[in-house]
Amino acid sequence: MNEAEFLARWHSEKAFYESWGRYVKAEIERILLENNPGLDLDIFLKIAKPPRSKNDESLLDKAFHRDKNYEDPYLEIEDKIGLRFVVLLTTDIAKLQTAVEKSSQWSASLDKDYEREREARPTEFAYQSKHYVLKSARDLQIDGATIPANTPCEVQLRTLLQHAHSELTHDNIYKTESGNVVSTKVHRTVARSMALIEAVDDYFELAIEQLFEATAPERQALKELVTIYEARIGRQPGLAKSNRLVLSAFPKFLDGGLREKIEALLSKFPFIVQNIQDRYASQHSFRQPWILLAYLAVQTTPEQTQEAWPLTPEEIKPVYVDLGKRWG
Amino acid sequence: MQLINLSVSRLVLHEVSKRTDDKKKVIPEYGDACEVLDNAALDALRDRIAVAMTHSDRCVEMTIVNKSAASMVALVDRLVDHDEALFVTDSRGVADLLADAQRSRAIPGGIVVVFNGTVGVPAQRFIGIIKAEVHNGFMRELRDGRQVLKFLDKLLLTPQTKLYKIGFFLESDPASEDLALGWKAFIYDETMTAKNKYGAAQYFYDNFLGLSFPESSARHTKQFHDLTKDFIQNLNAPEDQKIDLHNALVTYLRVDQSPTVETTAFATAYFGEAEIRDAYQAYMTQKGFPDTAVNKDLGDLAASLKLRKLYFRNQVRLSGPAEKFEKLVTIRVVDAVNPAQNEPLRWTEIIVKDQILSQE
Repeated sequence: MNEAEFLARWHSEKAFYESWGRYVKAEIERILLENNPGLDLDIFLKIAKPPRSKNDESLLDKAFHRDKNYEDPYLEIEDKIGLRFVVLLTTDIAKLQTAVEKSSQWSASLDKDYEREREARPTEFAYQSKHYVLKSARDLQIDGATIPANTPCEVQLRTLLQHAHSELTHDNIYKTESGNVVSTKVHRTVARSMALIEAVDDYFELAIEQLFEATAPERQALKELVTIYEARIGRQPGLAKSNRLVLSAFPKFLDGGLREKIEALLSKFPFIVQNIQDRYASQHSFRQPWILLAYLAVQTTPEQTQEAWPLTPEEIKPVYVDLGKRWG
Repeated sequence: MQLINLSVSRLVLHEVSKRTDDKKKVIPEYGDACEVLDNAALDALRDRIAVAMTHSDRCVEMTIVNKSAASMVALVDRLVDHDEALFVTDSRGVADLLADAQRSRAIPGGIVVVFNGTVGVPAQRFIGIIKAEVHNGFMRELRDGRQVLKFLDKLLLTPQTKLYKIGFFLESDPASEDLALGWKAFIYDETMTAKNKYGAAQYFYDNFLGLSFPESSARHTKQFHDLTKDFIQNLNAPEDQKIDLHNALVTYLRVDQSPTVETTAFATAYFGEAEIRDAYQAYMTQKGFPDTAVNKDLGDLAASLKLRKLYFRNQVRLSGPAEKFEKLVTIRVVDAVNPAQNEPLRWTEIIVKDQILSQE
């Protein structure tokens, strides 16, 4: 196969390769959402790019000019179409891996695994990323095109920091033409930055863990508030960010017994339930579970609640009026 | 007062003018229907009423004295059972009573708002009466596609509390034959001060509403003093701070110009920490002190407010004129010098800003 034949075939097949790439992306995202209910892909995926097919020049370059010794370069080049997912944390990579390995539409092989490389070369700090090659499991009909069995698609999984490292080094070091000498000094510097990145990735993970632990009482309390809201108000509460703000402003109320205290208050003052129901349609704040905590806080410690109140006065004043407490 | 679960249902407006030059009564302009308010407007109205009457030192429970057939409480007693049409017509009587009561030309006219609703748990019925003076202001308005300034010359019930007075009748015992027992009455009047308590606002609470200040004022003022004193004494705070708070209590009762004593007002003025304010109010409520303001009457307290007294464990006593005590004496808690075992670790340093007059 010469360069012209190679390109002719590529041009005739490029369209279905691109359909295949889009399909793989959609399928991985679908499984991600299925495995992780409530996940916001816009937040989870830090860099959203459509699948990328290799341009003619770099294909020819790889096929014929880099001493790769391919028998059939067209079939053996498996990243003619490629996808990249960039996430914040190494645990996010694990979620992606599960999604990649779960689909029955393709077979997945992990061709480059930084974890295995770390084990194999513990003293080395080099380019890190997970590269999968997915091959369609059978002939697939996608967007009106037939994707033949065994059509490859490369999927790279990286953290943001690994991505940053790769952006710095890829064109400069790993793709250097043979014979181009990169000084040992530069290699050393790059290895140092990789070591740092690995450490920072670990710290990020630790920070998220600690944050998760620190907000455990808030999350538990929010869960309880949602349960009470659904049961007593009989409507679906909203989950605006204001909930976190209000809950973190009143840590004293989040220790045990929150549920009992609110239930007791609602039994003593049934009008609270009525008022929340009446305002549900027209007032955002009365749709948030924190409104229940607000009634409890205003009733028991009106002065402290006013001092600690994290949102605008307008959002809490009706509660003061309802309970006959003074604001201001 | 505690206006928990306040809900307003009907609302009628009438306009009362001040008297003519020859002091003749002007017939009020009567409203002929209930006002229809949306949620936001009702919330604002509730807010006005709550700000005025909830834990306010200008809101006092009154004694109903005029119970005649032509009195306000008799009218209120009829209004509360009326359907909407009758409520509108009979509420004119409220405007008439006010026009009668405003005998001086110095008293401005205004809008009389008569409203009913329920309050409390379980809900009790009430009739409320607001006399709102009109003032003016501006608003931005979209006209022909651009913002223009519009002058409003009959603005009422803005958050400017000085411009309204409220009478509030709460049905306490519907079965009672005696109207004075069947209803509780409260007034709110921002312009009420220690000096004109029985003067300026009298046309409103007396001639118009038929109320007087209760005779229990002296007893309640003493109760306020005693309870607050105990609270301060038991407060988990440094002795220095307690000295200041005891002085503050005397100041609040003897010097402060407020016509009433009221727990929130005292707490806001003298307790720096919200936690102590909450604890104080919970304590006063639990001890049964009224949640309205109490007309300040020092009759039962005269003796105890005259002298400020401090007693020490070693039998030393210090006393002085309460009113100026903090100016005449400085008191400081200091560490004891080489205290022996079982001796106190803290001493009190007292500076009397004068020379000794005589000794015994």
